[in-house]
Amino acid sequence: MHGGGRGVSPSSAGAVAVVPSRIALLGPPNVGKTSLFNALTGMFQKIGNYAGVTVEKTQGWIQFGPHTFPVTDLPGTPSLITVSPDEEVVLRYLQGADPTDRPDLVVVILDATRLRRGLFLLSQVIEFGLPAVVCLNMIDEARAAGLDVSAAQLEKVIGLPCVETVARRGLGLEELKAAIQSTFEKSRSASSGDGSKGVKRWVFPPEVEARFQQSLDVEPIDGCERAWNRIRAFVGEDQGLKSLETFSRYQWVETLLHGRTHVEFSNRTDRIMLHPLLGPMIFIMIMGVVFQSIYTWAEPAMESIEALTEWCSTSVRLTVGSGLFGDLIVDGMIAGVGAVLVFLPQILLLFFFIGILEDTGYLARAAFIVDRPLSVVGLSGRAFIPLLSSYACAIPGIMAARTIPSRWERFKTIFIAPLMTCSARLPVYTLLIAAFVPSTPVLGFFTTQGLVLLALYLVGILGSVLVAAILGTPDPESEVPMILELPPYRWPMFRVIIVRMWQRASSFVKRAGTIILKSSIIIWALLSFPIAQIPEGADASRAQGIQIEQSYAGRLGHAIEPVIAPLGYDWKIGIGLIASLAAREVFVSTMGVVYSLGSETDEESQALRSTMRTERHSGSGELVYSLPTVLSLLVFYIFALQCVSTLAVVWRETGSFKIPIAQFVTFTLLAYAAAWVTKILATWAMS
Amino acid sequence: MTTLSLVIPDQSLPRAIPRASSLDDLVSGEVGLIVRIDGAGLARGRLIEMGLTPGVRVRLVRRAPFGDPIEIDVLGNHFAIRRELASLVFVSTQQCTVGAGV
Repeated sequence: MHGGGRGVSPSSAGAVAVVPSRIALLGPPNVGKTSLFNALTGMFQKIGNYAGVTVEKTQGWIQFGPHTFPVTDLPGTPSLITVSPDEEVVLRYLQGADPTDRPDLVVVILDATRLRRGLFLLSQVIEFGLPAVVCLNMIDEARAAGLDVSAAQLEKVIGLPCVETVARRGLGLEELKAAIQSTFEKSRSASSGDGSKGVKRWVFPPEVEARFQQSLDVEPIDGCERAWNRIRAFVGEDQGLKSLETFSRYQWVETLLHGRTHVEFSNRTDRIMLHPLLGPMIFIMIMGVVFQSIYTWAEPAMESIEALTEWCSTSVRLTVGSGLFGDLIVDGMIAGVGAVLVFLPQILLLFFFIGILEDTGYLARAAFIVDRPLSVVGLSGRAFIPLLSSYACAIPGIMAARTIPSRWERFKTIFIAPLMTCSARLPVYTLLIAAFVPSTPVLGFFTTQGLVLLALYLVGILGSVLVAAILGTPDPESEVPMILELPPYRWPMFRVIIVRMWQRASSFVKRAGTIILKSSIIIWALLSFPIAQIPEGADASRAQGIQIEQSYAGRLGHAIEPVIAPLGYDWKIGIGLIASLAAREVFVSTMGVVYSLGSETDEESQALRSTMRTERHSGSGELVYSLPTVLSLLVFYIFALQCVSTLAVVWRETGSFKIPIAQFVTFTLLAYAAAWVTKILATWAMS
Repeated sequence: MTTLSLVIPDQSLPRAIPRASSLDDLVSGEVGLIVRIDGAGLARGRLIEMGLTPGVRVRLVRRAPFGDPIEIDVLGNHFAIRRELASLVFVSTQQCTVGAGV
């Protein structure tokens, strides 16, 4: 809609009727709000952020005759009074903190099988005075269980328009839209526009209510001040009054329900899924599948994307030639786009599984099972999937941290995620271990090479525990306590899951993709400029080697040599470290170029291994890759945040560039210190 | 807290104050009647808004495989909360017999 104006659409009576320009969907968690939102708005959705915070704001459009109007899917919140920093967004939005984006109508979604919590929230929404429509969702389940609930009854006692829906099957949508339209027309014609008219408010117990009414008499009531604000002011910080208020609201809910009850929770599935012994086993199996999918199953798709990038490069190369312009297009831009797209298979797969786990209700159970071990490092069970995913790649892992409700915990999870040993480190590990660590059998079953690899993973875990401990826990007064709602098991809604996967993928490409693309062009430029003088008779590999040495990256490598010399690294390794900022595995091919073996070198290359084994420091003539230096380099890669894409995603996910900078500085220092200690200890041990 | 005790509905107030234990002390499957909620700030606010107000029955459904958190059933909603948080909730366990008699 244009400039905050109200949409106009012809009504059936032929007169010009006004329909709402902004609709907000509100409800407690797990009432099918997202299903309803998807059913109402279809595929066209926009994910943005609320002003100033990183809470995701999902917006869609709803069709009213020839017009479309924005609908906002507010984060699920059990209450509008005790709110966490993130839920305050909902509050401020409803209060119209942003005058250009103030909701004109609220649709409150209730779970018909469990009305109490929804009605509790509704008692608060009523006090906002916004026009409201109540939506009794999952009415089919309530009926099937024999509950005596209907929209007509509820409408009579509450005084707000109520409709019945089954969002998962798309039932009741037309009725809901009609109710929205008529409610809005009514509120427009009434001069006050106060939706709470004719609604019977809950009251405090008599003696307190009298005091409350007195407080209203003392303070003149401002026309736009809502009952809700007055109650909030009256209750203030008084814990006793706070209890009373909540209690009185629930009493009001009971009078509405007239002894109607809720659908009893089926316990059968959880008896197995949360069984003390079977539960963890099933958990490990499910997480195994999730991990396997992003670690292995994503591989063919990622390889196809890489092949496609390659094919594009070759075809473009043929068209534009091999000049500087061609290099920019091929090695800078096409490679950069490829570097963005290559993450999509993992992101899509991970969010497919998260969608299924979330929709079925298992995500909360998984968090329930694994909460205790993670609480040791000050995290909750919610951090498990993001951290597990980070072992494949930190990028989908960091994106998965959105499922963590607590702001502090989300930050902490994102902060330590790059310390999980991602698959991009493996080529570096493979190359160095295969070339320099002897393959001596240990205890008959292991080899030293295998044990070194295992140690690298363990040291990574140790580092993350250490960093998590240093980050500590937040002030318990201001942080949301760990409360997990365990919803009933349901079949997943694939349509909703696919929409969500698409949203995640497109927001990654749009928000982080541009930064990744730019930085990969910058890294390409660092390696390609200034253009070196290639002597006559040098072959292609030799020419590449000369080019990289004389490039800005090569000069940087020389410049940082004094800094990395204590670790045993020379300027050539320095170039590798700089180039691997594009992605850690680039270290391998860069070393191939540096040693004039060509850019097609991979970690299995025998030529690269033997060159590295005989490489000597130009001054002293000592071997560059002594075992202490190799170990030190391995340890450096455990900790160092050599990945621009991760930094870009952290920036986008946290909304602050300070966090990725802090991460980069912390982990580089940590890597340096750990690598230095390794070098010293290993040298001492071998002498 | 003094004003609070005045308004607890009669039918839910046990005649003789029985032993009040914390929610965390219940055994799996046991039901308790909430007597009071300690603590302050977001933690307490969240607990009571979940429906854990005095006079309401709460059932400890199970403990997590590693002992913490616990799953509770209040007003038909199932929540997992950590034992630390559960220890703020005080319940009386003898209400079932007293409550049934009233």
